[in-house]
Amino acid sequence: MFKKMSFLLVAMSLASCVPIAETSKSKLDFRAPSSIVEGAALKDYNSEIQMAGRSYVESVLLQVFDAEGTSAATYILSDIYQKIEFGGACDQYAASDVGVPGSTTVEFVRERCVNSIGVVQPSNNNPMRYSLTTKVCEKLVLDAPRLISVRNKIFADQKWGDPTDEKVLMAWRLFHQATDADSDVLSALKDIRKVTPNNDEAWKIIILTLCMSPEWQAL
Amino acid sequence: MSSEKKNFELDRRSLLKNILVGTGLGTSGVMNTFLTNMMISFMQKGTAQAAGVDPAFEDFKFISLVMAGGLPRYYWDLPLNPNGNDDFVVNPMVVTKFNPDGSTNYSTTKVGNYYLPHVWNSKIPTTGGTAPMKDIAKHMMIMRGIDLQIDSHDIDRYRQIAPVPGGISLSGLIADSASTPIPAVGRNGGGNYYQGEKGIAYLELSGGNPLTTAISPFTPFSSMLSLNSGAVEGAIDQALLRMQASATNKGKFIPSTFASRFNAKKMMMKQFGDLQAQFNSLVMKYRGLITRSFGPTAELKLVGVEDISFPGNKGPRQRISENEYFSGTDILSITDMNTLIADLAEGMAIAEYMIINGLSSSVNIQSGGISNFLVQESYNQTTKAVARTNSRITQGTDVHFVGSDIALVLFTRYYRAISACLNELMSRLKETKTSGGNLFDKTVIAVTSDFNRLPRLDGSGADHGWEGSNYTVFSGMFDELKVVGNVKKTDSANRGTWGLAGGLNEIGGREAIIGNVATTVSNLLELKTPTPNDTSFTAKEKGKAKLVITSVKNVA
Repeated sequence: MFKKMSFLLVAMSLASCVPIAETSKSKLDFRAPSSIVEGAALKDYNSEIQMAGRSYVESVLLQVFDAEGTSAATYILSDIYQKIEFGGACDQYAASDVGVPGSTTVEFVRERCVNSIGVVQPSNNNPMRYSLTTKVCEKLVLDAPRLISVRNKIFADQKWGDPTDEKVLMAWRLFHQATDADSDVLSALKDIRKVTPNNDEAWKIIILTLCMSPEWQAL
Repeated sequence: MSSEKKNFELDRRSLLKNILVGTGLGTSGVMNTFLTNMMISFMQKGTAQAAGVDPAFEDFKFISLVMAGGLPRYYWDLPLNPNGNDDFVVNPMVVTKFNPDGSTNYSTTKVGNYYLPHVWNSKIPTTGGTAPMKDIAKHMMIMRGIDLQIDSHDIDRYRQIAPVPGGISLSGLIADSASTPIPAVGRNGGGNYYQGEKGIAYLELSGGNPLTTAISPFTPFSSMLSLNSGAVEGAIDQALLRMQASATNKGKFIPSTFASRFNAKKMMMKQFGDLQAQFNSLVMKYRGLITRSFGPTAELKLVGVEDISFPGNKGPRQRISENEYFSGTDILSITDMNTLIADLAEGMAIAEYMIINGLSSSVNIQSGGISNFLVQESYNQTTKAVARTNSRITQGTDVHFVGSDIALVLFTRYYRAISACLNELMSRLKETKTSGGNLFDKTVIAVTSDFNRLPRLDGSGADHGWEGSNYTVFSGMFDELKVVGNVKKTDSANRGTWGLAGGLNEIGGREAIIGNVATTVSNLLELKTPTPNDTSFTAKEKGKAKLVITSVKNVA
């Protein structure tokens, strides 16, 4: 009983010591990170996050999943490249038709904007781009030939093996050329194996997680 | 149970415990248990959120209604004789009421402890009938006598929200602290002066279907692995949280990108109905309030302004543009049930939807000119001929050339429309309950323009009144009308009392500037201020605002 009371007292005193700002950080799940988390980042606050544009994101996905010339390229085009949420100009005049009444054929089809957000959108940190990326990444990992392409870049024997530090780091580097994952991140990615029934499923989720991470899109 | 099966059932509690240990927070058993429980309660809060109890409603909200063009404020929210016995010098342009003979005067009405312009005797349309305009004043704070220091439409309009050009904006700061999934939105250019500290994006919602534009990227497809998959979903989230923590050391702002990604997930888990229909319905509601304000029925007509009909006389007081003067049979005909304030209804619809649904915390909307202004007949003083008959024009709000009679009728109705829209939005905010009250208690609605107007002495129009601007906020943080700020009783050209900034003893005799306003709004929203060297007019106490600068005088 005394131990329980002690725990409660400790807990209450800890709670009372938490400043208001810290308490509000409790909503971290859907909140911009606190100043504690960003710390040094706040030194230069006169700039927004610059994110990679749509052509970069498209290019990474095409290459990681060897999607060029496949059906995946079609939805990467429509769901990433042609979405102005990823920033850059979407030139509505570039998508002129070819002069045939009723024709759906257009010149420069890659430049056709498929939504109605303003003509120019900065390539910045907005939740819409992450939703779109998540959906495309989910499609890619459920697209068996695309996932096999990734597997073959990580496992020379063309079979999914255990997600070791080395293999997870290889997967990480497919998306992040210039930075390495630290041990905490590698551990968290390896832990995915604990909630999946086999290595095949684990790697599907690991690749999905890396694909949907915003980090490789931040400049 | 096999080890594989056991591993497969690794629950969220274990995952969170691992996170805490991994991040060094779980340094002791008690601490670990306590923090784990705390984290789990937060995740449960996230689950409750999906079920409809949304912590997004607990944050502060900032809505800025920007009346572009530089509106004359002395018709509505700039009291020039606030105590009823102030030194007041008449200017023929600064009038609020017609006399029975068609001449004009500056007339006031008592609202709370102050005397506001005559228009506050007006009724405003509501969705269920009418209400006294005075009803909204009890939640209102007027800051008058603000010297903007710069004469520029765009820069001064921007500085109402971002007081230092190119610097941090109030709209950006509130977005930085937001729990909402699309923190900052707006319509008609708020992105030009949006700047936060954490790189949270501003979304411009243009077009005729802006809610669909905002929401459509979040529509999920069935059976997504990262959504609703139990342990797998939790493991993905855990890995991403680890990446977020790790990213802190790698580069500026990257953690914010992870926060935005979690917001994207939140949105993908929500259900939205027919957004086009919902937007159209909201627009129609606000348009109804606006058109009823401009074409008032008998019960809405303001005695002293709209009960007196007289023909045009082609004089300076009836100027409608640079060379045109009203010459029709009835000056009250200039607006009717077809008259609108450009993009006001659309902006109010966006504000209501995005705030009431817990989607945004910072909404910046901008209204434009007055469309379907009816010119019964006008006379061109240059050509000495009738210029128009029964023509519909858009009357701009940069009213250099709108005479006092026309302006009195026009802005009585304009501000009735603004008041009606604000009343409706405030009602919806009050209906939205939070843990400590209602959403209006956590919301600041700023009503701004580029600047006030400098009235001409011949009653033929008004120029840029940037040296005597004012700024009004509405919030549940106020329980009675508050007015603060000194103005000069006249200026060097003896234009009379129009709002020119006067010194305040509380700040060493200096005139209030937009930095004082920004600090005040920051104080209300409990944010840091973008102008830390300028003091606030208010202080917060138990969620309510009180004045700490109280001067409200007309000074020499």
